[in-house]
Formats: sequence, C-alpha cells, structure tokens
Amino acid sequence: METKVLHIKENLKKPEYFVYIILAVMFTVAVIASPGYLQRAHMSGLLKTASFLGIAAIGQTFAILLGDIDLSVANTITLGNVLGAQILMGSDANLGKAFVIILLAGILIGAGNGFGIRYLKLDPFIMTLGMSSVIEGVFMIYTQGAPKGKTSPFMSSLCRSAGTGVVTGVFLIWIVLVVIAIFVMKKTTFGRNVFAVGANKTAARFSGINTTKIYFIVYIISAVLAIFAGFLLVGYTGTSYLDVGVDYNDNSIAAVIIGGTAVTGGRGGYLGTLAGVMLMVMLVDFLTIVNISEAGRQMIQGGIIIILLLLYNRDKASH
Amino acid sequence: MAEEILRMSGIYKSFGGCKALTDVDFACNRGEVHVLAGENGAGKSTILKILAGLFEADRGEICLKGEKVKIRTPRQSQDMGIAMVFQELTLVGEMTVEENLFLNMEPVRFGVVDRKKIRRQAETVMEQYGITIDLDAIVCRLTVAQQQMVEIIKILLHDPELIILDEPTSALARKEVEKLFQIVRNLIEKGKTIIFISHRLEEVFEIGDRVTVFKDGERVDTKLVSEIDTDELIRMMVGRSLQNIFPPKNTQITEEVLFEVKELTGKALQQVSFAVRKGEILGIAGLQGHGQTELMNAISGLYPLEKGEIRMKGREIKVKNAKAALKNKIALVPSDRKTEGLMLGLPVRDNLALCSLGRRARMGVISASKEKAYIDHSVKSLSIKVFNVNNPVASLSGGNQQKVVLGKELGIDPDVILFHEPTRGIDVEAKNEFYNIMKNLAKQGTAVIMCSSDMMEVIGMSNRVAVMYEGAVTQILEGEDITEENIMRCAMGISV
Repeated sequence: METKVLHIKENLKKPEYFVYIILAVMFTVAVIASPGYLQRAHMSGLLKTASFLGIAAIGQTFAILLGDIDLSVANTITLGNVLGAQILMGSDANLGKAFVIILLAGILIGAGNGFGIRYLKLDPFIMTLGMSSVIEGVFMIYTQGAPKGKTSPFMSSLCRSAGTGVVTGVFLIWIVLVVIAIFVMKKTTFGRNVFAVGANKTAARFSGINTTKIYFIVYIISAVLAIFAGFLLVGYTGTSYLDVGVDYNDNSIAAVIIGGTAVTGGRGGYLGTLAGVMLMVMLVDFLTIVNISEAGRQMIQGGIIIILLLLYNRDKASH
Repeated sequence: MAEEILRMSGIYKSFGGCKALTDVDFACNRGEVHVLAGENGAGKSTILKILAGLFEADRGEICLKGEKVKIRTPRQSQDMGIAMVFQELTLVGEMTVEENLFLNMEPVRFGVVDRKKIRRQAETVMEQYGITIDLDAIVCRLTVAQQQMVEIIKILLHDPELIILDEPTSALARKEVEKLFQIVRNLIEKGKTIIFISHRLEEVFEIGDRVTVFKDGERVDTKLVSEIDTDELIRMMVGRSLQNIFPPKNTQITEEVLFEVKELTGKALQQVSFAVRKGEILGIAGLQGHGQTELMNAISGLYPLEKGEIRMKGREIKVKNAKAALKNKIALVPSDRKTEGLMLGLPVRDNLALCSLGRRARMGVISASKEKAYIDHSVKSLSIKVFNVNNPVASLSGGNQQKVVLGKELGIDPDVILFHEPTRGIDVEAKNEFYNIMKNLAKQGTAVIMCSSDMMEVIGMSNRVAVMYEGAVTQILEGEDITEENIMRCAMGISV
C-alpha cells in the first residue's frame, strides 16, 4: 500500500501527469471567477475548439517524440479548410470526393516531408518550414486569394451539439482519435519504435529499426491529421478562410511541450498533450472572458508556458 | 652527452579509480625524435596530454630544461614552448586554412584583423619547414593529410621547442607519411625536439632516435633505436600474466562450421575470411583502426560491403541492413553501449524488448503478458540488478547496462552473436559474469565472435584468434600459438 502511494507520488512528478494538476487548478479558478462557466453552451464550445487543436496536436506529438518538429501543420490545416469548402460546395453529395482528395493531399504532404528529411537530409525544421511555404503557394493559386465554397449540412452538424447539449460530432471524433493515439504510442511496435528513434537514432538503427520508414509514417500521420482538422473546421467556419490555420503551429507545439513531451525526443506522449491542449484552450478562453486584450493574452500565455517548462526542468535537475 | 630538455618523474594519474599511469619516469633529449610505443590504453596518450596541460597529474613532477615547472592548462604548456598535434584534428571545417591558423589569436591592427600580417607569418613558417598548402582553401575540402599539415603549421606559429605528434600517421597513406617524415626531419634540423606516438613498427625504425615502450600505464624501458630490432621491441611491449578471471575454455569443439565469411571486401576491409565452429569462441584482435569495427558492422548489416559472402550453416545469406541481419539471427553487442547500444532515457523494459518486439506482437500490437514474461526471463537469466524495469536504463551501473544491451540482442535467439568490446568500462565482477555468459552461449551452439582491444581478454577467452592488420586478417592463431607476442606481431603486419 505504502509503495503504491509512493508510486503515485513519483508519477505525479512526471510532467505528463503534473500538467493535470495545473489543469485542475486552472479549471477551478475559471469556474469560481466566471459565473456561467459550466453552462452547457460554453462547455460545448470549449471542447469543440479543443478538438480541432487536439487532432492537429496528435501528429505534432509524434513529430516531437522523434525529436523533430512539424512546422507545416498550420498551412496544412488551411489547405484542408480551403479544399474542403471548395469541393463540398454546400452539398453532402460531394463528401466522399472531398474526403478522398483531402486524404491524398495529406499523404502527399507527409511523404514530401519524410522524403526531404530522410533522403535530402534536410533539417526537419527547414524542411517542414519549406513545405509550409509550398502549401501556402498552392492554396493561394488554387483560390486566387479569394476562397470560395461552403460547408455541407453534414459537416455543419458535426459542429453542433446534439442530445445532452455538450457533446459535438467533432468532439466524439477527437475522443476516438485520442484513444487510438494513446494506444498506438503505448501498445504497438510502431509506437515503441518512435520512442526508440527519438531517444537514440544510432542505437535504433543498430537495433534493426527501419528509421526511414518510421519518419515517413510519422510525417504522414501528422499531415493527414492536420489536413483532416482543417476539413472539420469547414463545418465550424461555414466557408473557408486563408488564415484559419495560422495559430496552429504555435498552439500545437505549445500543447505538446506543456504536456511534458521532451523536445529532444523519446519522452512523453499524448496523454500529456491532451491536458496541454485543454490547458491552452481554457487559458485563451478564460483570458477572453475576463476581458484581457489580445496583446495581454499573448503575453500571459507565453509567460505561463515558460513557467511550466521551468517547473519541469527543475524536476529533472533534482533527479 | 645530449642536453635533456624534458624530464617527467614519478607521474601518477588515475581516472575515477582506474589507474592510467603509475609512477612513470620519462625523459627526452633536445634534438631527438623520441617514439612512444605500446598497446592501446598503455598510457602513451595520457602522459603526453599531461604534458600538454589537458590533464593534471595526481602526483609527480615535470622539469623543463632543468627547471621544475607546473603545467595546469594548455595555455601554460603552450607558453613553455610545448605544442601537441592531436589524433583527432581540431580545425573548423567551414573556415579557410588561414582563418583556422589564427583562430582566436588574430593579430589586430586598429581594431581590425591584420590579414597581411597573418599571411606573412604563415608563409614564413611554410617556407622554413618546406610545407606547401593553399592558405585560401576551405579546410573541410582538404585531405586528412593536408589538414594535418594545417595543424602542424598552426602550432609552429608559436615557435615551440618541443612538438608532440599523437599518432599522426594512422590516417595517412604511405606517400603522405614520407612527406610528414620529411617535415619532421626539417624540424629536427632547425633544433626542435619531437615526441611521436606510433603504432607502426617500421616507423619507429625509420624516424626514431630513441623509443620508449609503455605497458599498462608503466614505462617498460627506453632504448636507442639503433641498438634494438623488431623482435626485441615486440618483447618489450608484451609479457603479462593472465589474470584468473576467465572461465576455462570449451574443449569440445566439433568440426561443424556454424558461421562463415568469405573474402569480405569493403572500403576498410580486404578479403576477410574466417569460420566459426560449433562450441568455440573466435576472437578478433588487432590495434585500433585496422578494420575491426568495420568488420563487426559489416556482418551486422551496418557497413556496406563491395564483395564477399556470409554463410550461415552452409547457406548463403544477404545482410543489406541491420534489420536483415537480425532476421537472419545475427546479433551485435556494439562497442559503445551509450551511443550504439542503448536508449539511455528509455525504461529498461523498452530497451530489452526493442530488437524482438515483433515476436511478441500480433498485427503490430504488443502482447503485454508475453512481454512481461520475456522481460522477467531476461532480467532473471542475466541477473540484471534493477529495482524496477520501468526505470530508465541510465540509472543502472555500467555492467548492468551492458547486460541490458546483451539481453536486447538475445531476444532474437541469435545463431551468431558478435561482441564488440564487450567489457569496456565495467567492473571485474561483471566482466567475469560476461565471460561465463559468452562461454555458455558458445557451448549451447551459438557462434560467438568476440572483438576486443583488450589483448588479455582475447587470449583468455578465444579458442582461435583472427588478427587484423590494415583491413585484412593476417593470421588465425590457434591453441598454443595464441600468445601476446604472436598477436602483437600479426597486428603489426609481421608474420609469426
């Protein structure tokens, strides 16, 4: 019994669990400070916003576990949004076509990143940044700078809460993906190999892991989930915007890091990112509720990220 | 009587309880080429690094030109007229030769770097000692030999009296060595003194005036080169008693060949052939950098081969990458467990399971119960001392870490297992355990190949020893022929 308690105590020191304590504190403060916080409409909106970021952050978690970073997430989301709206044109009849094209585009982007990093030996930072520019060029040409198209009834319904009034379709999709992501990271050979490559590339190669394959799969997962998040956003935005994805690079990376995944790779996982996503979304929401300006919000957000990372590092130093 | 420029007496140095030098006396005369010889880890580099101010001796004193001195930093050493050219070059690859020469000591005029002065100085030095090199060349585009010249010019700018060259010829072709020796002779002519570490016997006789032999952190003797021959030099380098930490060798060795390589040829390998018979341990010996690492890696699919065959129980197999090697049941315990063997930050469990994950998974999903059984078995059978298998492997001692590397490889049930420096940096007790494990593996019918730079280990463990020299196996020693002297001769390219 005593060792069990000790075990829990040890685990709570790990960033990916510690972040849940911060989340609980944050939630309590928000509930006390703003009446109506727990209202269904508000909670539903909060979880919906979290879902889009959460889906994109799955891929980012994989990339950072490898010790890399994916900076093409933001523009991939925008591409998904633009493509989605333009193909749907307001009709559910186009859903299948949109889904296939978006899936293919995602695979193409991810494979492109993987190719650049593994075969052209480009730094992931540079490669994904370059890819990001290419994607931007593509949707600029595609839309001529003025995106057209419209959500379909089905896509819109995914963003409306039904029944209880809290749960939306996108939230359910996210939850399913959360379960899959955690399962893949913890229970599969692929997940183990990602951690191994992130922890020590040379030793991973010596251990017979096909590192190139791992890179390709990770970047494809990241791109596919990002473009899919952009597609889901069509239902939320109604039509498409060229800056719909803009904050998602910063926010997905922040969510992963706050969630305790080490930027050096090989440590962390989606369980922490999940809390990181909620924390990011709640923070922005709360600061908006208490009427802090955009500029002030940015500063506070940045400050909190830095403080959290300091806390994690102190923990590491004491080991 | 020649003037003594340097005398080091009673030098003692240990690294964390591991003795590197024990009360060494060493002296050097002005104007001579003094060669240091001995095995890897005999203490040659250590004593010179003390002289260069990189390490500080625990005990002992240094006299320079008859005066007692203290050398604590490389700067002090430099100021006393001592300069060292290292085995690993220390140049900045992206900069030009000229920029490298004056890195961090650029002559300044009116607050800007005085390039004219730099050029003038460099050209003077080059002319004086007969060195030619393009000062505007980018360093990383130069050959290793040329880079070494840059290093030499760099130290000559300080006009040192005593110049230390740490294995300068190890990466050079014969023609380049000639060139280097010419420069060494020019330096001697101008009154410099040279201390020279070499692993090649013929060089000792070609360039040396005197030779000092080191063994296990002690100085064996100093001789005039003209007074000795190759045989005597080798005898000075060997001659230790076998410690009693090795289990008795297997005697039941059948003629059945388990594993065989034929004419493996690659960039650093020349037609390497050998066979491992059932029950035996095959040792691979040689001085550092004669193709042993490449051989181990080539068999494990980590180094590209141009030609050659690998046969497992008579059947030819292809190992184009590490994965293919593991699939063919070839396992490697690599030489550097921290960079090649382990994911230090990951749990012991994840490390142990890594190579054989697929065996306990269905459609990519790992069976938790099978994995637990496997981990428990590994920890128990290798007696790995670990409190909790979820702790990072970095928290274990060196010996236990090494056992995790081994366990990870044994997970694939190897038919061939390669040990590369299996006991480097682990304590005697763990070494002994390792030796027993190796012997048992051989006994149970696994082909065991052990490559080690620890000669006593090779002698104590191997039924046969393949000695490498310049990428080729020069000889395979067996039985009574496995002696230090024979191995040393073969490792230096002299036949037994």
